Amino acid sequence: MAEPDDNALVEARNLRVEFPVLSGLLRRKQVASVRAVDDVNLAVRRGEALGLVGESGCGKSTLGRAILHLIRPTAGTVLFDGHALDTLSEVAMRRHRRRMQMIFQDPYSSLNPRMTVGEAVAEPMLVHGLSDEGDSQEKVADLFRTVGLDPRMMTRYPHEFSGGQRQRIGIARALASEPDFIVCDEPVSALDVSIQAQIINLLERLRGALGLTYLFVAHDLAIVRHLSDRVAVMYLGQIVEIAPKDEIYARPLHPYTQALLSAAPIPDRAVEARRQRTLLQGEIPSPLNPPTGCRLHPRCPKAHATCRAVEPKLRQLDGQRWVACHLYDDAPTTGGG
Amino acid sequence: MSEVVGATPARPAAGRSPLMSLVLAVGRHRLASVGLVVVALLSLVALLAPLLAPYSPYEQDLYNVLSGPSPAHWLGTDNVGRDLLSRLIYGTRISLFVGIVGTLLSAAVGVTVGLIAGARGGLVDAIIMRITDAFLCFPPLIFILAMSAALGPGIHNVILSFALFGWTGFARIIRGQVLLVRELPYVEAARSIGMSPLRIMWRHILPNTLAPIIVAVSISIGLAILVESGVSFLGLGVQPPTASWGKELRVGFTYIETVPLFSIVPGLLIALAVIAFNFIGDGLRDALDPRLRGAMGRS
Amino acid sequence: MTARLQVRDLVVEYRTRDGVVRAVNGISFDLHRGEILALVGESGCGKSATALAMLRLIPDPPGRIVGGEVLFDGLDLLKADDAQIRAVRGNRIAMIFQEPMTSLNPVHTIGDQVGEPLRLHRRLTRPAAIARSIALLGTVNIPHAEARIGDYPHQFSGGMRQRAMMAMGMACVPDIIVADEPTTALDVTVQAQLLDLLKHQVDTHGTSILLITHNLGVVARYADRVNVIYAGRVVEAASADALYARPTHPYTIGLLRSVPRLDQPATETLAPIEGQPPDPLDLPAGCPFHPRCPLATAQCRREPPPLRAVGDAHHVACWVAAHG
Repeated sequence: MAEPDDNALVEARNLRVEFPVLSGLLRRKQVASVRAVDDVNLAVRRGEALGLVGESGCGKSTLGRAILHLIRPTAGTVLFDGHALDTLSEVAMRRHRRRMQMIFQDPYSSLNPRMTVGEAVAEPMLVHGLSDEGDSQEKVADLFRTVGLDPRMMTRYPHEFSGGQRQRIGIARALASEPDFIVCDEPVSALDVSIQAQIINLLERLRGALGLTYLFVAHDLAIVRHLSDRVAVMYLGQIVEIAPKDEIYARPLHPYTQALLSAAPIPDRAVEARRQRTLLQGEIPSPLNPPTGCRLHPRCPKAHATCRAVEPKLRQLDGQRWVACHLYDDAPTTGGG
Repeated sequence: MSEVVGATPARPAAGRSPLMSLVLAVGRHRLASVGLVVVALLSLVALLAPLLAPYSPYEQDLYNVLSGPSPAHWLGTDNVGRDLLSRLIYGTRISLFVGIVGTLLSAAVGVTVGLIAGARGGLVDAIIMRITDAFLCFPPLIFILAMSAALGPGIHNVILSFALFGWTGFARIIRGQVLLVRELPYVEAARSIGMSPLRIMWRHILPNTLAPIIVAVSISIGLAILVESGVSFLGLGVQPPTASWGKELRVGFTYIETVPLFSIVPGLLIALAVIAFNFIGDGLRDALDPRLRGAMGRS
Repeated sequence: MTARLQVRDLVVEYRTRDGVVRAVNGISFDLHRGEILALVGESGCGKSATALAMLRLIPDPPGRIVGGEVLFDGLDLLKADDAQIRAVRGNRIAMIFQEPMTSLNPVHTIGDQVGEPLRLHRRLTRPAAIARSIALLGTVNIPHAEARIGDYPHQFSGGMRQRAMMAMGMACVPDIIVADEPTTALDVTVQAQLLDLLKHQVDTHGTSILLITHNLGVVARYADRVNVIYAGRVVEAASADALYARPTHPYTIGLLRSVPRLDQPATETLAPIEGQPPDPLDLPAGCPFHPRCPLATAQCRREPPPLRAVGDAHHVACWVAAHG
């Protein structure tokens, strides 16, 4: 059920991440494990922005970190530009990190409070020997200008900046090692509404200017629509749908995607008044004890007997659309991938 | 570029280093600034002892034994006719020396061991933590007295005994901090750019674990001064003819009925120093607590 | 029809180490029977402080209500004595907070906490309150409520806890529910369910809701009227229909233009509001929005604009837009 792609820069193959669940007062014993990411196949193509959406606890942030090997996958492989990351030595892996960076959700806690922001941005260059102490200042100043900050602020500390400015610093730091691939983990969700657009525009402009490839992890579907070329939807550790963005927003196939889109309100009174809404029932079940069959079936308005018993696989439908849902079992499979 | 350059910082504070803001914050704390002044004065006294003391601490005036205050001897003389003021001025050196060196030694050992425990985890951590737990069973003063007795008298053994106990506290603090800090997003961010674990420990974890250590150091100096006094009082610390506050207190105690100043002044000095270091510790704790730093209400 | 609740010229200050912050700077509004009034703004704009101040729940220190009136049922809540205000809180005006994790006490069962307002204000016995709690948990769609009544908060998911908080808020069938970012911490699918429940409460009991949020989509879907707040002031007040059809204040226009929309393909770049949110310790003179405003004039830099009518029940605090 892989999604092989000749043009993939990053590819996750049968990726699985489990977290141990410990119990006991004196002697902590592993009593179970949570599958945060369960057998995920995903390819991010060179130069594209792939949106990864889902609700909290669906495993999207864990998947982003596992792809960067910031969390060791329990099973499966990540191929980065043809290299299997799990086969690399620790030193080789650290060298590889130059090309794959991350932008973090919380601009307040992802910067060391005791380093000036200039030092923070210079750090990746120094770690990878891209510059020495001498010319790093000039490069940092350039990066500051690139992300829309005044280079004179280099000597200040993170607490002197607002949230939006800190996120610009985080972006400059991610760019410092001249990466090819950046995982953006909810990069605007901690920011004020009026600032979000500034950062979204910046990320968009940088991708074009520097030819970056993004994995854009977010829960806000409107932002994902704005910033991504394709969208993957995750539910309880699994990918349930992948499609080019305009198709997924115009004609979502999976009932979960439909519900997500329908639940998200649109800031337009006239449009809201006309909308038809389909609501899911209840809450997301605990990933400790996921439902049998299709994981959505207890909440799904369209569930039938097969859904309760058989887990649907991610299948390719027409063109670039992939869906994991029994409703489309009879749909013809066309196109090659 | 089409975008605005966000040139205005969130807070128009000048580019002040964290250390400078810390000193300023402690200065604003009323009790801590009193403590800072007292400690500064005591340090000055210790440094300038030869200039400040009217007599040598060993010079005996056998015609004036156990005299009360007089124009020649402001605080009087001791049982062998030495000038009490001069002995206490020189004693400041010993007391501060024991306080500072004893504390730095325990902090150096404690921070190193705590870092290893916190960073390595697993069995190493478990063993180190059980050892520090074992130390918790002893009352500190009794332990240090017993150690001093075992090691024999002398100032270096006082310092050693203090450090032998004191490192456990620092190790516990730093280990807890490491466990806390290493889960913070900026440590993950450091990993994500490809930094080695050692460099992350040095650049990102250690500097951010030091705040409670700084507080503990200031309080520990006071404690070490108290311990030196106690040990010397019992005759195990500094040996005659060297002067220390505790030694003077002990000798003076014998004559408390005839020459009360002989024991009261060293006692007051010990109390003053211990309280001053504790005030500084309190001030540092408040200054380092981000919740008390310009906390603002929610929207 | 007179308003159920009138807030007049409310001023709230916070004392911080760096100076005094005027978080709420003369906010006034009416809340009518059976309506949902949204207070919209970004973090630090004073919307939450307004809600807390109405029930005198501002922690003092550092906060302080400096001036204004909150008239409810012939009583100025800001001047009421402690017994009077306790009789109102949780009984006639209930509050639902953002944090379902910390707003419930971990050592008491869900049933005890949901039933607490009933025992306090209606003098129900414990068994009667528990019985009523089961019914309440049912109305907020907690399955098997009678089995889960003895659970502790940690046994509930975030969404379930917020449902329990809502049940608690609805227990005494209050006249007013103040909901402070009630669903911000929750996922969209759960958020929609909970806001629908609040809406249902309005339709069935004529409850008035003060909905505090930063989410313009939530406002579009649920609110009847909207007050847009910036730097402690109401900058635009209008019916939701008018606000989305004819947004008038440059800040409102900027907000609506800067949010990406689910229903529109991303054909062009977003139009963000330039600059940074104001520093509450150092607010600009004149109109607080002028440093970020594309239309700012010399007058805007000098004088703060008053709230003036630009249409039927549509008020805007702007020197430029209000002329247009």
